[in-house]
Amino acid sequence: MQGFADIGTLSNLAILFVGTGLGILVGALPGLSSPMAIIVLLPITFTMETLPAFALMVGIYVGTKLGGSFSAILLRTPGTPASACTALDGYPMAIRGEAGLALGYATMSSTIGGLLGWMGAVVAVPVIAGVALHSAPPDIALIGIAGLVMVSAFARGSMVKGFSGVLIGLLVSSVGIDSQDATMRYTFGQTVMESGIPFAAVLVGVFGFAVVFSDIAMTVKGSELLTRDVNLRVPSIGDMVRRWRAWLIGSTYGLGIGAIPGVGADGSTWLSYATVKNQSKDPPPEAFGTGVPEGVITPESSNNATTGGALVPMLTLGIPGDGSTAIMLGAMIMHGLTPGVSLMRDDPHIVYGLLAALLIATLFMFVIAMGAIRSFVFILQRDRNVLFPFILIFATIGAFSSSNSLFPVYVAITFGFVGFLLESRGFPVVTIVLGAILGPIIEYNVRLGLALSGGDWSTFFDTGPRIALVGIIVFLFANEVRGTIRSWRKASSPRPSETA
Amino acid sequence: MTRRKLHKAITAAVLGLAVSVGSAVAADYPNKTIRLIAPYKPGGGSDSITRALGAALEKVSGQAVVVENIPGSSGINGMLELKKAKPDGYTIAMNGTLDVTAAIAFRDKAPFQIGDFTCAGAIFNTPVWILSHKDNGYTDLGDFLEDAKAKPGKLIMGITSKLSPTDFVASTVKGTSGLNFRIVGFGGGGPLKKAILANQVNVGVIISPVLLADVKAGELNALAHAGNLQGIINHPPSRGVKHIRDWGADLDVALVRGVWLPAGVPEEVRAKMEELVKAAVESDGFKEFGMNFGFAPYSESGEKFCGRLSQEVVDLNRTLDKYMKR
Repeated sequence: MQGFADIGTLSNLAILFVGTGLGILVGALPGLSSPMAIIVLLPITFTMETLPAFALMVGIYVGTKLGGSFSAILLRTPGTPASACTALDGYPMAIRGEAGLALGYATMSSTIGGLLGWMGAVVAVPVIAGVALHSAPPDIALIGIAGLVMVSAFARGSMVKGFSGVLIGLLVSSVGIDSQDATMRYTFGQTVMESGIPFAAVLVGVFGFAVVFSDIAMTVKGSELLTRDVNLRVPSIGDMVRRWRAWLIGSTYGLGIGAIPGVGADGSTWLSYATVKNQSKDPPPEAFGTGVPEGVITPESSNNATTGGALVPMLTLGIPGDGSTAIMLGAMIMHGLTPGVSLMRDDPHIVYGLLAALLIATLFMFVIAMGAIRSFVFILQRDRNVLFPFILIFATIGAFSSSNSLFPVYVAITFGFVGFLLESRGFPVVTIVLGAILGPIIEYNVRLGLALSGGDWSTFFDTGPRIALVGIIVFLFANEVRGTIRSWRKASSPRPSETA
Repeated sequence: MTRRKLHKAITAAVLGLAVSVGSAVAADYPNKTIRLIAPYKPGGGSDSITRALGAALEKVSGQAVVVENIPGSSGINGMLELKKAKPDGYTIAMNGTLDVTAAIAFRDKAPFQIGDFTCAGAIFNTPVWILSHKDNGYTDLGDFLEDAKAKPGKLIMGITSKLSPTDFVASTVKGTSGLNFRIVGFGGGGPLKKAILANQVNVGVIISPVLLADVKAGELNALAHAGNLQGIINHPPSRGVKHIRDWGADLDVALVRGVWLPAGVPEEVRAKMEELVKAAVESDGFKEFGMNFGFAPYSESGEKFCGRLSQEVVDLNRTLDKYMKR
C-alpha cells in the first residue's frame, strides 16, 4: 500500500502515463524495442528523482509489450520480438476487416496478462524469486526442448519445409564464439561475426523487410490487401470470459517463464501459443493461424505477464529476466541503489513503489490503447505504398540501433530476401524465428548442464520436476509422431492438395 | 634566396602552421559533443561505469558526452570502431586493459595492436575475486582446495567464460595447486552470478565488486582475490581477504578500466583529455557513483595506463602456455 502512496503523486502518475504511452508507440514501430527506448531516455532519468525515473522506465517496459502487437496485427510486422507470435492470427483477422477486434483482443488480453502476472508476482514473490534463482541449466534445457517439440506443430502441413525453417534458425543461432570452449563457429575470420548473427536484425529482416517485399509484389498486381470496410467493434467482456483458457494459460506461462533469465517474453509467447493450440477443441488446432482470437489472446496475455515475472527477480535478487530489466538494474546503481538481496531491506519503498508502478502502468496501457485503436486503424487504412517507406526506415533504424553499427542492417536486408524467397516457396518463416530463439537456449543449457555434471546425462532426470519435464517431452513427441502418421495415412488414401 | 633556403623556409612555415593549428585545436578542445564508446551491451557493470564517467566528463568539460554502446565480440567491435575514428579527441572509449590485451594475446590474427590506441588514464582498478555460497562453509581459498583434494574431480569452479580474466585466475590456481577440480565457463558474468547465488558452483571467479551486496549480507563468502581489494569502500572485512598468492598462485589479474583514444590524436588533445578524465574521476558525482558501485575510483596517468599493456600481453601468453589450452 505504501508503494501506491509513494507512486501516487500527480507528477509520478503523469510520468508513468507518458512512459506507458511512449512505450506503446515505440513498441508499435518495427525494430524499436523497450531496451532501446529506455537507453535513449536514460540520461534524462539521471536528473530525476529515483522513483519517477523508474516509473518512466516501467511505463515504457509495459507499453512496448502491447505496442509491438499493433504493428504485428496491422502490418504483419511485429514491433518487438515478443509480439512476433501475435502476427500469426492477428494479421489474418485484420485482413478480414476485424482489425478493431484483433487490436481489442490484444489490448484486453495484455491487460489481463499484466494484471494476473502482477498478482502472481506480488503474491508469490518468494516462489518467483526461487524459480529465477534455482532454475538450473538442465531444467531450462528441458523446457526449451519441450518448447521445440510443441512448436513443431507449426510445421504441420509440410513437415519438411517446417523443419527446414527450424534448421535454418538453428544454423543462424550457431554462428559466433562458442560459449563453452570459445571456438569460433562459422565466423569466416570476420570479427563482426564473433558475437553471432544479431537476432533482432534477423527478426526485422524476416518480418519487416520480407513483408514489405511480398506486399509490394501484391500492390504491383493491384490487389487490395486489406478491406476498406474495417470493423471497429472491440470485443466485449463476455468474449474474453468465454476464452478464459487462452489468457489463463498465456498469463501462467508468462509469469513462470518470464522469471527464467534468458527465456523471457520471446520464448513464453510461442510456448503458450503452442500449448493452447494443441489443446484447443473449439476452435480446432488447424484453425490457428487463420485468424482466431485465441491466437491473439494467448501470446498477448503471455508477454505482458512476463513483466511481473521478470521484475520480481530483478528487485529481490538483482537477477534481470530480460534486456530491459538488465538496463534498469544498471540504472539502479546510478541512482544510488544497491541491487541484490539487500535492496528489499535497504530501499523497500523503491521495491514496493515499482511494483505499484507496474500495476498502474498496466491500467494506463489499457486506457491509452483502447483510445488509440481508432487512430491505429486509421493509419492502417492508408495506402500501403505510403506505409512501406516508413516500415523500411524504422526497420533499418531498428536494426542499426541494436548495436549502433551497419552490420545488423546488412543482416536484416539479407534475411528480408531470404524470408521473402522462402515464404513465396511455401516455407513457414516463423519456424526460422523459433529455431533462432530456442536453439541457443537449448544448446547453451544442455552443454552447461553436462559441464556441471561432469558429462553425466542422468543430470537431466535427477529431480522430480526434470522427470516430469522428460515425461512431457516424450508424451508430446509421441503425440506428434502419431499425428504425423495419421496425416500420412490420410494422404495416402485420396490425393489431397498440398497445404503449405 | 637559394632553392635550399626556400625549401627550408617553406618547411619551417608549414611546420609552424601545423604546430599553431595543433595548439589552437588543443586550446579550445573540447568545443563540441564527445562520443564515448562503451564496447558492451547496455545494463552491465562496464556500461554503468561508462555512463557515470560520461556524466562526470560532461560536467568537467562543459560539453555534451554521448555514450554509445557498440557491443559484440568481447568488446572488440567497440575498440575497432575507436580505431577507425578520426583522431581528433571527440571519439573516446571506456574499456579495461585486459579486454584489449586478451584480444591481442589469444588470437592468431589480432584484430588490433597496442599501437592502434593511446590512453587518457585509468578510472577504476578492480581485481578478480573468488566467491562461494555460505552453505559450502569455506572461509578462504584454502578450505576449497582442501575439499577439492578430498573429492578429486568433483568440485566446480565457475568462471565467466573461457580465455577470460577469470579463466586465468582459475587455471593458475588449478595449475599451481595441482588439484583436480572442474573449471566451467558460463558464457558471461550474469549467468555465473546467478549460479554462485544459487550455489550451483562450489566457488565462482568473478570481477569484484560484483555480488558485494551479497557478501555484505553474509550470503556469500569472499575466499581470495588476485589484485588489491583496498578500494572496497563500504565493507572493511572484504579488504582483509587474502591474495591467491598465499596459496601459491603468483598472479595479479585486475580489470583496470580507463579511457582510450585512437592513435594519432595530437598530444595536446590527449593531455587535455587526460586532465579532464582526472578531474572527472575526482569529481563528487563520480566518487558518489563509486560508493554505490562498491569500489573507490582509481586515478592513473595515460602513460602508466597504456604502459600496462605490453606486460599484460606477455603475462597472458605465459599463463596460457603454462596452464591453459589454447
